[in-house]
Amino acid sequence: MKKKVLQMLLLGMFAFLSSNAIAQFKVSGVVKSSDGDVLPGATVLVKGSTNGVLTDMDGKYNITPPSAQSVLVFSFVGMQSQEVPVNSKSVINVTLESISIGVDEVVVTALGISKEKKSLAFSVGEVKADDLVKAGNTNVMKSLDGKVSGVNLTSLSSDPTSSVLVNVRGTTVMPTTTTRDGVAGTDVSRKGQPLYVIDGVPVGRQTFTSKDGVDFGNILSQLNPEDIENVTVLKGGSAGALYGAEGGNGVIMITTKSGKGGKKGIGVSVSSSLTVDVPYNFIESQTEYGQGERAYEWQYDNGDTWGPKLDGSYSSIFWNVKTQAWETAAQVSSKENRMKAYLQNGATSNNAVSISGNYDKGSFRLSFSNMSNKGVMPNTQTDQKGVTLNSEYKLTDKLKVSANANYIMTYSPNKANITGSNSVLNNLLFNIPTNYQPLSEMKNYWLTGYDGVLMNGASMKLPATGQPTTAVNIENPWWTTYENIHRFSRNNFFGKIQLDWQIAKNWSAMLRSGMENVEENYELRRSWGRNNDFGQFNPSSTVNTDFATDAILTYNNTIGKLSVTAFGGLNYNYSKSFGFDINANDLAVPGLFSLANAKAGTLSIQNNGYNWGIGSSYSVYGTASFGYNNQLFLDITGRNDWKGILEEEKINYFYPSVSASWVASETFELPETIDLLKFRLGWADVGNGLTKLRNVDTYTFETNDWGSAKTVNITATLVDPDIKPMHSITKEAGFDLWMLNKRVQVDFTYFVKDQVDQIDQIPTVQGTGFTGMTTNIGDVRGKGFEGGITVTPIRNKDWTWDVSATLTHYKAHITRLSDKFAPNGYVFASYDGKTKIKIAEGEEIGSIYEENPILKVKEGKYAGMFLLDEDGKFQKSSDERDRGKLGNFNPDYIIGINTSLKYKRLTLTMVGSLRLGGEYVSVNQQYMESNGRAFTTLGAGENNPYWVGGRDAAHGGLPWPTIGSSDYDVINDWNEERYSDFNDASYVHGVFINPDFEGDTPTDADYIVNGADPRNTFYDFPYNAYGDAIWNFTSTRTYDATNFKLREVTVAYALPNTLTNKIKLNDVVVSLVGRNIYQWNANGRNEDPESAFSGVGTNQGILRATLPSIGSYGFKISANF
Amino acid sequence: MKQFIKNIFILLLLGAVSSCSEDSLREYDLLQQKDAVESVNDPFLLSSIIKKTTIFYQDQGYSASKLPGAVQYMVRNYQGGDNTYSAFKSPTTEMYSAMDILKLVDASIKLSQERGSKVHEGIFTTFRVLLFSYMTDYYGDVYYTEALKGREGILYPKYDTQSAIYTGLLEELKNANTLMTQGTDLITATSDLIFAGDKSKWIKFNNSLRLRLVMRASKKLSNAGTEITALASGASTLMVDNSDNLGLAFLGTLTENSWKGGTFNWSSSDEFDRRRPSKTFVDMLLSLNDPRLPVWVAPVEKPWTDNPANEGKTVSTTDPNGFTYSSTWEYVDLSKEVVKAQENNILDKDKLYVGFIAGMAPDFKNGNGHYDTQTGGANGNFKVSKFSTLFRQNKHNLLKATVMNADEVQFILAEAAAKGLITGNADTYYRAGITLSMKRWGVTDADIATYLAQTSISLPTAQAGKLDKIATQKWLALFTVPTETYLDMRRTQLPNIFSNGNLKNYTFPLRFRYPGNELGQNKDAYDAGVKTLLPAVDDEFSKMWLLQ
Repeated sequence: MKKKVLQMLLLGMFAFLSSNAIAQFKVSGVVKSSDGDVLPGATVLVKGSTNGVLTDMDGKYNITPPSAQSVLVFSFVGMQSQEVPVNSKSVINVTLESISIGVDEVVVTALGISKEKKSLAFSVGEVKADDLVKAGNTNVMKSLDGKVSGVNLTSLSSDPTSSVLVNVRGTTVMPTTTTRDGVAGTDVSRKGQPLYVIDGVPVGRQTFTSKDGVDFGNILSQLNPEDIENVTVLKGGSAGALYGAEGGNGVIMITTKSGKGGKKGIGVSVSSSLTVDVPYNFIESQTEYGQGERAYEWQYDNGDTWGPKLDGSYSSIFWNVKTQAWETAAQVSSKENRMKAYLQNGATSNNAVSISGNYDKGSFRLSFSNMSNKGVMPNTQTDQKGVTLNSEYKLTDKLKVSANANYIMTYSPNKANITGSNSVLNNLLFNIPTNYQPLSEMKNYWLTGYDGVLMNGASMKLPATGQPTTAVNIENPWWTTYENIHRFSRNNFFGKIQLDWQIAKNWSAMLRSGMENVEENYELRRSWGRNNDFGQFNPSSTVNTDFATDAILTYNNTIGKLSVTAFGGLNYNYSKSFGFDINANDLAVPGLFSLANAKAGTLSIQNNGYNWGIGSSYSVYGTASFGYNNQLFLDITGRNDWKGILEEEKINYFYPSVSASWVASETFELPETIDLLKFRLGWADVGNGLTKLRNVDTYTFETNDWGSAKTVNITATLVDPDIKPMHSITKEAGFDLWMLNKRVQVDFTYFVKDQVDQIDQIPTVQGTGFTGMTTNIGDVRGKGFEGGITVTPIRNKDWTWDVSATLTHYKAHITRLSDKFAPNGYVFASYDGKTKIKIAEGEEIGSIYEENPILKVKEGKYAGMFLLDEDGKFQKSSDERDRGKLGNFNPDYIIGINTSLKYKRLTLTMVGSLRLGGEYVSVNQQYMESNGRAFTTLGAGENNPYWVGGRDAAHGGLPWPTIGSSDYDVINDWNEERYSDFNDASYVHGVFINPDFEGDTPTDADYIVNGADPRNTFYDFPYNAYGDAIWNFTSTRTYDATNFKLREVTVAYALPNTLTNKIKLNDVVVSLVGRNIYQWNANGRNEDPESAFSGVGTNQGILRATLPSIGSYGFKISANF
Repeated sequence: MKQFIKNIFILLLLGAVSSCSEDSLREYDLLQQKDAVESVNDPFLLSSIIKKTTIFYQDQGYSASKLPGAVQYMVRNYQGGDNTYSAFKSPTTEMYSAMDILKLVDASIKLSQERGSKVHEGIFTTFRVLLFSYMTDYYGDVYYTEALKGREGILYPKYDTQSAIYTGLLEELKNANTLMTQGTDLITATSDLIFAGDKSKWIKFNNSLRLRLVMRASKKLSNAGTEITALASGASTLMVDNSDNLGLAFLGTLTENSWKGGTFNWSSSDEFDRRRPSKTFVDMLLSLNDPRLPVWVAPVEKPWTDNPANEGKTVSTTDPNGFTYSSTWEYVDLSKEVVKAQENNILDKDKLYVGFIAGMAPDFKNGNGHYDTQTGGANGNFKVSKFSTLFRQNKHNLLKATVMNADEVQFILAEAAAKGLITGNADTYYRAGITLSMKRWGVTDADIATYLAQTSISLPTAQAGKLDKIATQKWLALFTVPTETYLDMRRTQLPNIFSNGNLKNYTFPLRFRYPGNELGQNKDAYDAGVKTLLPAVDDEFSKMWLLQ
């Protein structure tokens, strides 16, 4: 037996068949579904015995019950079981009703423990397999959007393979001013990521792998959606309390499909989808004016387009990128939308096949998948292959062993930077003037005779004196596409082995050991090509391994009306990470990408000294759940962690949680229309301490010596000697109401989450000698509610119409700041260089402030007007109290809408998500204004709060005042320097102090309104008066982020089995799918507010040079054998 | 069967609990930490401090244009806010960088004390004084006695008054001097990136820095004359030769060890082309027939000429360092509309060396009547000189990251003599200063002699005239060290170039504003610091103790 067990474990596959009892009295018939389809593989069982049969391919069965008075039980997965007394009938035909959600349904909760949904005292969100794969989305995380309440899913970009940021009930992380572990202190969204658990094994928080601004997608978005049985989101602290600190931000539980519960015997499923990814919603810019800073003055090497009109009347020298020669010709507009011309249609295909077996003794499921994505950006590609095995075997009636193993391989020969200043998109949007040739003429990106050495730039510069070569002025986008390569691969292996043992009637034990091993390899290969840039070769590799072992003992009993479930467990966690990153900053020989080819002295090892990381923790936990009469439930959990390896780390935390629920519909006789009415109440406390921080000075050697001398850096970290563990305390209350035979289902939860004594770095003033101190920085309170409603307005023989909606709202505020942190009560933290974050009591998490406030007059008649400087320009206010709030990047409400309309075999489904409220800052607009691309730069419209004037008379440009006509020398001097005969004079709104004023405090009489008297006005040309003048002032480019996205539209047709059986296929479904095919933005801009990130996974709310929207259109076909 | 399962259970549990004890995990981290401290010996600390400090100074001297712009060495022809002191209007965060180095300096002093290496302690302390003086000289009251004490629990250090800081710094310098004199620990030649282990040169720097600080505070220190006399008397050694200069030569092999203007740091020439010598600077060099002019400044690419016969003629120039340039004359042909439009802007004709007018507006394209913006583009101006190709090198024996030179010492003594603070001959010091500076830039002895023989160089008898000439020569000699030039011009208001060019509408700023987050985070200290300014506002025109 022992030997046999081992063999089974190794093989993970089983093949046992059950046998039938001896025949006496015969009954036969057909089992059908309420749709009228025959049900092959349905179980027909004689009640109270193990005697049963399965229906055949035509739904027919023959059974021999022991007597004519026996009762037959008909059951089928997903259908309501029916008991039919035989009553001496020899033919019994049965129609089984399908069940959508049963009152007695179970949900997978913390540590993989299943609980009756009815008894749950906290809110969970659940997405079933069907809803994940319907639209053929290959990115699991993206397909959750609009389907769960209480969760904010934000895609880093519209790229189908991009990372997704997940915040459950918002984030209650307090922003700080310092960066730790590579995450900026202000990046609260990223710091507040939930814990992910696959089949009961925690696989950690999601990391965002990014290099050189390239997003390689988060690890879990790469699971094969076809392998997933369901995704459960444990939102509150009670739900996650058993995971300890890691679960403080919520837990996303993923259960993979197994062979269990399917029809007996072997089954094969295949699915295949293909979509075309089409970019749309391109940002438009003006194509009327060309290079330069004034409308009468051409500058061939200036990327700004404040220059002359492109009507052909201006002739200039220019670099003909096609012929690779300097030419002089009339300058005209290419009228090309560069982004549109550059991007292509992408394609995503996904093929998956799975084999499953289900037997009395065990089950298995083995699946293979292959995803391939050709990006919308030329020369980008992502391929993904996955293998998954889930198996389970019953050694004895009381002992079950199960093993899961998953391997996912991702490979991108090249993935491009799609956010931020290094991206080719940035270049296309802001740097390539409209008079340049079309992109199609730039394809030859090497200078003739200098292949691999010198780039044929989108524009070049004339050789300057003493310069040997023509210099690249603006990079050729095709060069960036093909010669700046980011190669990436990821091998992800995870799995578990688990033993379940029913020790005695009320006692059972479980032992589980799981692991995840993620290996990532990356390399950057940049060719020679730019002037004085000798390329780069930067390979790096990281391996992260996590082990988690749990041993759990469970006691289960029902004594009269009281039911008790209690368990105690032990957990051991061990993690190990290793990485290296070597950079050859210059290549000696072009085109040879090897470390040995590094130019002398340019080889460096990054993150020297931080290559190994080891961590471990031990925990003891337990819960006791009491149920009274199936209507009152009480859950108590507790967990104690010991972790950390250094003295400074506080290594002992206890987390308790209590939750209760009351099923009122069981207690009282409620009207019949009410199926279930339940009230819930929960409280949990989750704590955490320090990890890997110490209160010492250390020294690191600098990568490059100074000649033969070594040089060092000091790395000093400061930890508060009085530091305490932090706690996250969640309270929630809610109800569930199911009515009219579950045709109406409503749930609602109100929650309050307090992050108390958060541990992080406070910024210290530079006089301390430290950039920050790790201490308890304060408290944050998040509040909000989430709810869902599902209505089935129509359900009859042919038609079913379901509509469901989810609603999420949350706000978090800083409720207390450590007085060590901010003696003045507030601190501004640098956010993305163009905006700031305020850290103060009462401050709302997610709010963004101006980097530079515009100085305004404070008192008197002109109070509130811009106070211009001695040159008639806006000036920055250095008074922190002047800083204006731009907005908050968190939406006020997230509404998900799902509807499905079914007519016989045809189903139409739509999923949409609406985000109401929130603001974002468009750095796109800032650059387009400064570079003269935005339409707003043509001329100041009426009521423009910032300037008056335009590029030329036609656009509101004013004549320049006669030289010397002002009463003030300073204005005369100023205007004379800028004077031209061309009507391009403009000025900014505001007041300036009379140049003759001498004294400290000007009064109303000492102010002069700029523009009131044309003689006494500081004029400037529009490039300065507008583009430059408001460059620093972000408040002018903050927009409402409200948007609606049509996430999924599918039309599916299920072929009748009677038809497909002839070709040995079952459940054939053919669908047309569309994803993200429509987007509406309240602000009317062609930007996706959701992609408002200034970099990969960082700093939400800042939008710069991202991909436009991408719609996917295609088809999907799935079938079972 | 049951026994088998029990066994598995027990084995797995044991394995889980015992596989890694806490100690074994801790060991690796602790070992690394210990290694990190014990492996930093004095030589490595010395090389690090020298490198960081000199590079920090040099970064303010050329690549950042705030100070070179303010003292009119440099005018930007693109994004030219620094032409009109605009960066002084915002809070300045340079304090951070000095504090970063000071953190290492303080830690080094502590380690050298533990090791009993007095010479190193003395050198480190001298650097400490240099960096703290930089902070107080630019801001006023700053952290000093409570600085760098976060570990001792001082999270909000108070500011000390500038006078207290000066007293403290001079005391520290004295102690450092004693330590160096008495100490016997040897300096590793390869780690002493500047003096190759010659202790006496560090003592000279210590004394010279004292001289610099005492002169800076001479108006406020009652014993300034005595101090300077003692330093000048020869009782203390001063930097007297160019081999005494505290300037780090660049290696030119990597971005980080190269001159900022070189191709490693600026792969495109745009940044280089945006920085032009000022007209004030070029005209002064021209008027004095200064042989340093061609070393520093390149000939104009397309100079104007009033002589129609020269139109289109090209002359080729080779500068003293062997870099060549070509210039093509353009006749001021007022019949051409484009030229006529620039008539008022053409200030320099028939000259190969032309500076960009001081205080020019940002993005003013038409300096000296340049009109060919189409070809010139955003940074091109063919009618104004660039800096010489020397400054486009990654390394050159004339390019150094400089903190202090021997010529500065001579000019301080010349000023002290002219003011009667010491008894020496101002003219001797003055000529020694000029000679040292010229030699430092590779000028031949013969050329120096010719230069010094000019009547325009001779010091007049009147004190004001003397001081003006000394200041002018010091201003020229401190080229590329504008951190010091600025503080000198602020103190002496000489040379009087404040209204040159278009600067008459702008006031020369007297200090840096405190970093913005000081107001937010260390308000009590900040308020106290602002209170001692005259007037008590944190702006660039308020006077600190030194100037009151």
